[in-house]
Amino acid sequence: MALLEVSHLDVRFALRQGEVRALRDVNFTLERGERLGIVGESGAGKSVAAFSLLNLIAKPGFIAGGSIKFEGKELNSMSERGLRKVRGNRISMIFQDPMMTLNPVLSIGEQMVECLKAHRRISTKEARAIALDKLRQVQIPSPEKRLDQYPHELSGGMRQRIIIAIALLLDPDIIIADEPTTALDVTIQAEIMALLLELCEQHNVGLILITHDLGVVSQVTQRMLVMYAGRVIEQGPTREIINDPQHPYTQGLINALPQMATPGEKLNQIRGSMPSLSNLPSGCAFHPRCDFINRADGQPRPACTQQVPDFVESGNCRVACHMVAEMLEDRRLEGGEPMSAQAETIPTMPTQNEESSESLLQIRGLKKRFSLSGDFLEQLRFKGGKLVRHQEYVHAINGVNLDIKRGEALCVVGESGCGKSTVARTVMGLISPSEGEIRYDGQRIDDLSSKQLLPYRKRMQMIFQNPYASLNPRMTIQQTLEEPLRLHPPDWNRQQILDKVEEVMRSVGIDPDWGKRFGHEFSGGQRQRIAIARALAVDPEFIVADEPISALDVSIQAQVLNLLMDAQRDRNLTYLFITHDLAVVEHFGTRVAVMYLGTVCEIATTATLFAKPRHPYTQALLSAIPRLEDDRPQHIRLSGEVPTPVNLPSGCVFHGRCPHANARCKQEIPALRTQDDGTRVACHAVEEGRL
Amino acid sequence: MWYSFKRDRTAQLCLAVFICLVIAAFSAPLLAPTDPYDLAQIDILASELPPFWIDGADEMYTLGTDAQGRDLLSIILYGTRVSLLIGFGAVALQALLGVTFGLMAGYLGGRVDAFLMRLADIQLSFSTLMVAIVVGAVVKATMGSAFYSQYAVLMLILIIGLAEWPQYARTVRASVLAEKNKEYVDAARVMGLRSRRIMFRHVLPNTLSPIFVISTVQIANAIISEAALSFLGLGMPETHPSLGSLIKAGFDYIQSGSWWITLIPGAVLVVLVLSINLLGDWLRDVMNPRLYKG
Repeated sequence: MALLEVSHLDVRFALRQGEVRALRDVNFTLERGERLGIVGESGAGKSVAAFSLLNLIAKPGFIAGGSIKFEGKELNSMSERGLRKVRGNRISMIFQDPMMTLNPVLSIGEQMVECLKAHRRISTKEARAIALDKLRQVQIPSPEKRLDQYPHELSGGMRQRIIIAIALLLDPDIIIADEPTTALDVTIQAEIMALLLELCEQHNVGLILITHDLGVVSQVTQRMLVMYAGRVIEQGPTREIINDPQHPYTQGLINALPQMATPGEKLNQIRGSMPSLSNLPSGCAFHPRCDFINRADGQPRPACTQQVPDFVESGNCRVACHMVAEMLEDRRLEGGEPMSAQAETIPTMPTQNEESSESLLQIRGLKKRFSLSGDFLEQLRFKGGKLVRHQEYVHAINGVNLDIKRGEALCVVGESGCGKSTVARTVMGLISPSEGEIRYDGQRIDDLSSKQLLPYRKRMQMIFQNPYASLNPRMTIQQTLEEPLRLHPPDWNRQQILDKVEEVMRSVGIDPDWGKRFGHEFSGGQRQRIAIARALAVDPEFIVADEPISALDVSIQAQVLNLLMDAQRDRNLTYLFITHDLAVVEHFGTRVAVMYLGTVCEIATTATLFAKPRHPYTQALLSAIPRLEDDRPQHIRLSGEVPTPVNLPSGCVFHGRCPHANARCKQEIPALRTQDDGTRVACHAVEEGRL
Repeated sequence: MWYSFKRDRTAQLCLAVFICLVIAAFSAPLLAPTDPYDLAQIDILASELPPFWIDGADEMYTLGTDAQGRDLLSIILYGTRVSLLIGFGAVALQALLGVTFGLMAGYLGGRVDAFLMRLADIQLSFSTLMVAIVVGAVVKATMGSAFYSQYAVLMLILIIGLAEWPQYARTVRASVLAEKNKEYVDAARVMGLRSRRIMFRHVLPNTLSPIFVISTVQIANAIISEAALSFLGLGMPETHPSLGSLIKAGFDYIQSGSWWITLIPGAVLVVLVLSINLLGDWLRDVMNPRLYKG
């Protein structure tokens, strides 16, 4: 008997517009100690699946059918009291956002003791001892101290460790982890994932890992489910699915990953976006986006548009696809590799003339501090009987030098708080630098007034991270796109503006007839296209893109990246591309600058950086990317957490976490030095040949 | 919005009551049986007649008459019109000042923000009463009290408008601060748009929902303020009565049994303010789904 057995689970939401089926016919089992991944893009129903396991679906949702058996007992029909005995005790959950999961007004110890006492009859003292033991298990530094701390005193990574400790408190049989590392940085994410994996193996705990990240799933789980629009479309052993996906959607999802494409070439994108659950297409929900809907004779397969596909067994996997069923029936399945995506071969981008040494943008000695101390009156402090002015700063950027050459895509990578977005915003003049200068095409632009800056606004544009916030919700798309054209150039007439708007809309693949609609009527990917269209409308030569794809789903990311690459090729654009995602950098960037705590620690061409990372931080960053490949590369563990930019460490800012740090690193700030292959590294260890 | 309106019986009823009162008040010259401003129509001998359901009523005066012999129904209709005029006028003035200042304070920040908000704090520490006394005293001293009573409606709009604009300014500033950091504002700045255009074209439309919600509350408040001021004798003169001054006029006679002169205008005031407030509640729920009380 399996530990957990889910069969024909059906969850619905009773909404105004009628009933929406959020989950239909979900079947899976979990054995003791097994790790199962549930993968899907947003809206696929993976979180609903997790919540319904513990009957935590909030109104208006309800479980409409099917059964969930835990150790043979039906959870669906269990009373609320019975369920509470299972929740937390036998099955515990880890949620996505470590900032929101812990109660901010209770200390860590209180929260842990409360949880223990709710399920066991033990004294507070015993409970604290257990709590302390669990905190040790999650390898948190100085666990005794943590018990009396409050959540806001801890960093995101530490909070997630505490949440894992709480999940383990009662020695559960199953942990359900809903995107446990999505809100964390790559290096922290790798740490937490490794910890979770280790603890599950150690305690023989079953894990249900819900994520959108195929890399994480392939590293951690043994079996996986792929969900699309509320249905499981493919399930089976993780390795088999990753290596040989059967369903066209799974194939598309894997092929859309930047690491699956040759750098500089177009990514294999899945067209369109996930349908809304209240308006599902007939037949197979994926058919409007499917490339395999046509049969060998070129006619569309009628079943795909008419009939919801049933599961067929293919090897160890189960796939819900008419095409796969047909293939199996025709016995044309040759070694399981019949229809690997016929990736359209798209002409490679012209290799950028790397040696065009003309710098379009030069950043010299850029520093930016933000005051933390409020206005003048709030800065006054009494110190030794005297009234003094006390000021505290966040040092967001500390002396950044960058050159961006015409026609290249310079990627700036780093974890949150490293100052990469501040660089982007300073370049665009959205914030003024505290020190240093920025030259555009030889002209200093950082000290210009907004009027003097106007001609540069036509030449440089920006694309923002969050497509939900970057379009004015009260303006139509037409109005949004017209706006930049009223200023650049100032003398266009109405017709010229309208023509241009239509042209840019076409160029980003948005139907010009949609101009009267508002931003909220579009999907995330479409909004980002519109935001790109707005930036392209004035025909700029330089674009700053601040995390333009990180808010988007995998299949949509590929579309937007392709669009940005097309634009670069067609318009000879220069990019300053800010991202935290190294896989994207490898695919997109000409050169890469790695930032840590407001300084650039390494600049290299993309190929060099990925082949031969020099700086210890770059090495750790690269080893932390969750890869699809089976062989888990040795992950370089970084001790500790990123220090706060309020009190910067002396010497090399990285020395506290660096495995190669010595006394010199603690005192002397390393300068960027050019290596023989042109890479520039700021590291004493590299310089001294220790690395 | 229409959908939730169709389901909300309270909102429907309130809107119906409110519209009836507005129409009745503004067509007072057509509806009212007599013209209370016309001295020729006032019969002092017919003073303090009770409403129709009480013995001794004159069927000519449905709701009775006041101490000066004016028909209470007519005078309530005219009075409601004055009250509504002052309510809307004062709110328009508050909104104009408050939205402009709030927008500037929130968007420009720094010293402008500090200056305008301190100004608002100072303004708030003067009660409406103080403003009324000061304005009234200044105007009466310089222009004479005849001038003051002639323009009493404008004066009250000015007083209540001046006294209450910080409510708007604070609300608008708070939502501007939230909107200002959104990326569409950055996008507009990157385009090189001028601050004024960004403020009015981009930020302001996105702060409209709280402005609408606060407006309903403020209209109700302004009507009550007006009534309170008039009751204290700082508002409308008795020859040109509003609901507040009617209540005041009748208050002197409540001991002598003529309760209707005070209570009927009072009831009208309560119904009017209540319907506006309930409409405001409904509007707030619609515009801010997070507050929705499921």
